[in-house]
Amino acid sequence: MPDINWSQQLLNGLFAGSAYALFAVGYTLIFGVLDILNLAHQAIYMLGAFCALVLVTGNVAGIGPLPGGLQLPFWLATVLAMLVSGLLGIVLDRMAFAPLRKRPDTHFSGMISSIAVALIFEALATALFLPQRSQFPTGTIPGGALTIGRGALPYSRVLVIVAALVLVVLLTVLLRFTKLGKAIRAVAENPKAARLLGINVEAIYSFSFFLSSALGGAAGIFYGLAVSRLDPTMGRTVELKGLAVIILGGMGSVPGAVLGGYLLGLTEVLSVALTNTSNYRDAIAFVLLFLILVLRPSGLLGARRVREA
Amino acid sequence: MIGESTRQLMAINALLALSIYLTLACGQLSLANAAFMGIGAYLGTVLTLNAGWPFWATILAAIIVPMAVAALVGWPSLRLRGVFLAIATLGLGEVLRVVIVNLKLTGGAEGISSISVKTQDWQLALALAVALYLTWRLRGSRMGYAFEAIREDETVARTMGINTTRYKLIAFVLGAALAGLAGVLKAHLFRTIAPGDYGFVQAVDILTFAVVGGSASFLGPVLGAFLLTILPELLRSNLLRGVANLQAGWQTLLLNGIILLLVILFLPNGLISLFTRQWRRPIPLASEQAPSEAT
Amino acid sequence: MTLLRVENLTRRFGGVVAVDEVSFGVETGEIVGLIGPNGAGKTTVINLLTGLLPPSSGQIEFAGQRLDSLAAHQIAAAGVARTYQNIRLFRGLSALDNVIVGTHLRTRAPFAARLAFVPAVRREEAAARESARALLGRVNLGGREAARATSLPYGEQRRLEIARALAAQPKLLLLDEPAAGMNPAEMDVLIQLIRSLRDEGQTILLIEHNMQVVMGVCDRIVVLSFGRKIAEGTPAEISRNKDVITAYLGEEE
Repeated sequence: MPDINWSQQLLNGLFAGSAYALFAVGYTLIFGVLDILNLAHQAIYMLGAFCALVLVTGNVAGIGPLPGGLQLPFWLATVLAMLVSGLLGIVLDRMAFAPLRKRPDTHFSGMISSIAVALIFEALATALFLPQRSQFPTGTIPGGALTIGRGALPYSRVLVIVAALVLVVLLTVLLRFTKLGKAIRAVAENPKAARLLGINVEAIYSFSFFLSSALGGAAGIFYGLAVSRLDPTMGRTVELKGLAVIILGGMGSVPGAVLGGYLLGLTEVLSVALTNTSNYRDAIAFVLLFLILVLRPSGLLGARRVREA
Repeated sequence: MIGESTRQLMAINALLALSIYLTLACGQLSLANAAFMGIGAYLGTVLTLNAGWPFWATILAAIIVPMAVAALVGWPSLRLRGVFLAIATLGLGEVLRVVIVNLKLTGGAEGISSISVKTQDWQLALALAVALYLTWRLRGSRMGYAFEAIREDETVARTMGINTTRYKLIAFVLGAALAGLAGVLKAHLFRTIAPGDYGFVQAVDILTFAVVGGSASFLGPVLGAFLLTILPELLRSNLLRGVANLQAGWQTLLLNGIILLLVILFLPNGLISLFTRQWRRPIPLASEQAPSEAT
Repeated sequence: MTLLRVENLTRRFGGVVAVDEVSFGVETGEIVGLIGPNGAGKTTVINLLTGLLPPSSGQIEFAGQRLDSLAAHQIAAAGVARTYQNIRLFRGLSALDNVIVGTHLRTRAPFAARLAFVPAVRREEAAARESARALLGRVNLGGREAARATSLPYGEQRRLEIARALAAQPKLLLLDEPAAGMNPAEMDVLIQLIRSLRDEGQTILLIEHNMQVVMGVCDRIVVLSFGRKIAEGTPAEISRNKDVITAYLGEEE
């Protein structure tokens, strides 16, 4: 057995897990509230990252500099880009999902229409930004790394872990302890009853998209920074793994998405370390997916209740 | 007017469209056909190039092996409802991609190029004819009725004596056969294959043929395939005359996305519904939420 | 002769016992009513009988076969057919097509034979079509073949569902609240239909809330309350039974 640097593996696993978890919570939130699989989530993840990049570099690659020579510090760019992502989420809802809500039996239609919007978003991104890889300029985040034991993790990656934890905690606080959060959970449970209770269900839907997409955008920003790579197809692999994560954790369950994310991240990292090859890493998510679908389809933390329409 | 390679691609895409039609016909949204196509393409290529098999034998293998994989994978997966099956089948494509990328035999990430051209037009025509015949005879047959029942309401179908798992598996396996056939024919026509050709993008393309064309009739996906194959070609010839530094890639993506969105929103039964007075519902129902069957 | 024998049938959902040690039988050729207030477990019993739910314990014996471990399609093949409380027709299909699906168990034609245009297949399909047509006529839906199932008025949809169930020529027909939501005229037609089915020898287990239908049509009645059987007997006996009255009306004043 190879000499494993456990601290390093743990740090790597936490980094990967945080990236997956942050992506997955938005994904699973929409499924929990609206019962649909938003396959455009990955496109917003990508657009959020590019938006932050544009704000930081002050330049839209392929077109030119921003008006007024605008250039923002990273933290401000991130907040703004998250807001933009959230708004894109609302646009997405208006384009792809809301028109279908009036129709009965449209579970696949919603998913397919989200695929359509994802294609459109990705095409536009490829047209607007240079198709080759972009990255945040060096120095966006101070260099250097955090060392724990024998392991070291660059600060940009530590940031992913911190961001994931902070945002997930904020989300949980929102969902559990605020009136808005209770309204969201009520709508997730039973939209008809929620409506009768006076909750503006459409507004909750819009807000859920805003929240989910803002988180997705954040995931893209921090991940893109950490791996020094943004490109219009960056959403594709993470989307499929994100699917595995939310099913693993139980669709609709936010804690499940977090658990699933970290489980996948750590499993991937460990398996690479133990087998000494990263060739099959990408397949692990799907092996886990198959296993959970066969053994416990409701997921680890899921209690997939039948939605009362 | 329509170039030869475009016509050939139309035939191949029609085959792929029919492969997904079979699973849609019994209410299953399977996105595995791109992966089965990949298996057919890679297996066929390896057999022709490395093992020197005669083409007819390669074609047979490219049909049979995906069928076997489908039977194996389908058995546990087809218990899954709706969306979950779609995801599981996507996962299959990913696993396949990883396997292909890592085998030296399959040329790794770069794929294989300069495959000898073996596919002839008559073979394409025959393959398409067989597929069309198969799907045409389905409507009105006992199995066809069973498919429709499963598609409409699987639980009720079971209480009527229909062994739903068996029929879903048959559809899945037959679809895999057509997809594998399309894969091997295409590989020996357009001469290159790469792992990226059989993943999510291709799966979505195939789905788009069926959605845009409409899956109420077997002609729908064929129509969708023809249309979506011709359009980018027309676009390519007009657009590239102008702006030189824009890549042709994103326009196709954009076009596909817009067409798909418009169809889903405004013509959900697909283009075929403009021609027939069918009011059959095309998109598979997924009224149940739970990932797996309740008994 | 006993066609169906249910012994100590029980079904639990978590902590709730929906069906609690229920036992009863159905003789060939009779109409047995299964009644009880809301939540008594009647539909759960039907779901258990048709294999949509596995029993937690107990036995179901039908025509000499044990049903409780069989899959739904196998139970149907044994000769059990049903209709649904909230009407589950194949909405995208025509009335005729709905019934043709029902003939699945009565036909055999393998698909491969159909590909080869084997004449026996053509004959079988034509026969199935004919018997479907005849069944539509039987339930007074003769002219409605081509109509989309959902375009039919409510009462006709119910009768269509019955036709579809009959297409399998079942030994036992389970009707789940066929009279629900019907107006008096439709209900009369339904009662006539059920009576004529019994006259032809069809064995029926009927779940129903509507007492007029139950009393008018059933040979025997089984009463459930909170998952338990509280009474069994002829309509006359049941209507005098104190426990039944209490169950429906609450405590007597």
